[in-house]
Amino acid sequence: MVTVENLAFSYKDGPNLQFPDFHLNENEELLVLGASGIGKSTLLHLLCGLLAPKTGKIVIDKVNITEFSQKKLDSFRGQNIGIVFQRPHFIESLNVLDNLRAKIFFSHQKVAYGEIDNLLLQLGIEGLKHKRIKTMSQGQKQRLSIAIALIGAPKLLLADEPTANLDDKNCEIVIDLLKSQAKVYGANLIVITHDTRIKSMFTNKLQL
Amino acid sequence: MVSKPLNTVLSVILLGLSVALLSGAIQFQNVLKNQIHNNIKNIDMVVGAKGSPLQLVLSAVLHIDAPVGNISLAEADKIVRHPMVGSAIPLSYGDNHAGYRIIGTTSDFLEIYNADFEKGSPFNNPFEVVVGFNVAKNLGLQLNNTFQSAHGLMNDGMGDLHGDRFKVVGILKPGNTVLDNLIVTSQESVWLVHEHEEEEANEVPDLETHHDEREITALLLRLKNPFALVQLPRQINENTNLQAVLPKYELDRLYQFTGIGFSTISLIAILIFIVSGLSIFISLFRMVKERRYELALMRTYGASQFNLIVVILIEAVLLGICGYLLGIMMAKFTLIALFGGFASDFKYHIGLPWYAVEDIFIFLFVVILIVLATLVAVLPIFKMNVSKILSDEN
Repeated sequence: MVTVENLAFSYKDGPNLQFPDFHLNENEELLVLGASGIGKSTLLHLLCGLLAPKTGKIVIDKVNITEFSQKKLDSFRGQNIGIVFQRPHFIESLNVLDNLRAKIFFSHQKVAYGEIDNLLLQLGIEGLKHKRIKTMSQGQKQRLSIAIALIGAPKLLLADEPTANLDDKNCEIVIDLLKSQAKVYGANLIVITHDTRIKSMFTNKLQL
Repeated sequence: MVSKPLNTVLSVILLGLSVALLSGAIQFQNVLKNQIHNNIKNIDMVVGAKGSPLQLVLSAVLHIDAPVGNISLAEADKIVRHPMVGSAIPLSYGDNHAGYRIIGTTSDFLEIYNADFEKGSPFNNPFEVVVGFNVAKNLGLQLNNTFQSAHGLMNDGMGDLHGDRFKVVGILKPGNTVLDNLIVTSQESVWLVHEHEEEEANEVPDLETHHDEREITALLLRLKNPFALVQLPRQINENTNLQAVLPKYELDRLYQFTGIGFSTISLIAILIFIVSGLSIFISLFRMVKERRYELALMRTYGASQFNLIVVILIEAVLLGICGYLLGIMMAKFTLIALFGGFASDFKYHIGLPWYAVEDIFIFLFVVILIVLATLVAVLPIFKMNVSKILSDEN
């Protein structure tokens, strides 16, 4: 469950950004649409506590995260929020498996070893466990970033322009994966995009 | 840092070099100090022929240089009977066996160094010898083995072999003193070897005059009181044609000269140490900048600022340990090579401890250096704007 109320933010010397209120019940999805520069990424960073709002409330799983200290936010984020970025980034010097382990390590979660295999299998990258990041294709990287976001079963799955660099076919596959995996883990999915291709794939939409 | 392996390797090598210089200089100095201390403990004064005082000490106390010359037994006797002299041990040089010096002396000589026997007993009769630990080990000598001595102090192939055979009656335990590298026998043995030589040369030996001509190389003395340390050398040096030297004084002087060298090396080592610290700092600082996205990513995974700093610190300390181990190994190999060369050139083996207390201090310094370098290098993490870094990359 995610509730956003009266949320506002402003960058130093920037205009005031006011975000519409919304509420997601369990298992609900949301597509946030908007043109570039309208504050989509800002909303995503507010939702995961990387930015602190000027006013307003963000309630995730019945807790208001705007009241947390930075350290508490870090640990809450690790345990409850998975983030998929537009251009997937990893720890380059580690292989696929160790990147997953790094997420588990930093989020202080306990994850059964079989869970990693299971997740990689569902995302169709089970054969890449020991592959180095440099040798992976863009599509494989995007799947891995979804795996990393989902490992540890977060309450909220955030995706920031997850399809911007993908062709139509992969675009559809990635959105399907996000939706189906969010369901599997019982997480709320919020996708933020300006990509109109995926508009039809969501019923619950919010225009910024 | 994996992405910049060359920078990292350079930092580690620099650190290793400074550790090697520091550790090497300190250990070399320790060994020198110990050698000097162990070997002059019970020797107050050395008397020998006139010449270089340092050479007299080096030859008669440390047994490394050539003797200054011989002195007549008659003159030496006068010194031995001097009221200020507590005890006196004569030394007669002349021969070697496979490069190890044979010293004609009394069994008191063994007591100066509190020698322990591994096997056998002290020499009682002429041509019986007690061999030091390294001599026995390196020449494979056992009890009751016999050997012929060669004239001279070095095994240069020039000295003729003498006819008489020496017999090993005792083998000493290692004591980290000069005894380890010496062959000790009675004075008579050394005299007899050379008398036989002369007998062979002149068919008719003149025993009468021969007796008066007997010579020794040096006298090691213990004096009765500290006052004698001041008076006796002056008396001997002014009134006889012998030379009296206080080994402690001479070796302290030598040590002071070499000390300047060691200070210089230590200073250079400390400078390189600081440079290596800077180099590590720069590597870390660049790493924090270059990998800021990865660090930001770790924050999105739930890592706190503190976690990130610990990650970098662990990486840096691992580097520091690599540099430290590299340095200690370099120092060790260099010293082993140095002392190995010394052993084969001078037949003088120096024991090297595996680990020095100072190495632990050096390790602590390395850790402090690394921690300082890291703490400065990670400052940007505190100012890191994760949101901005993540947005900029997109």
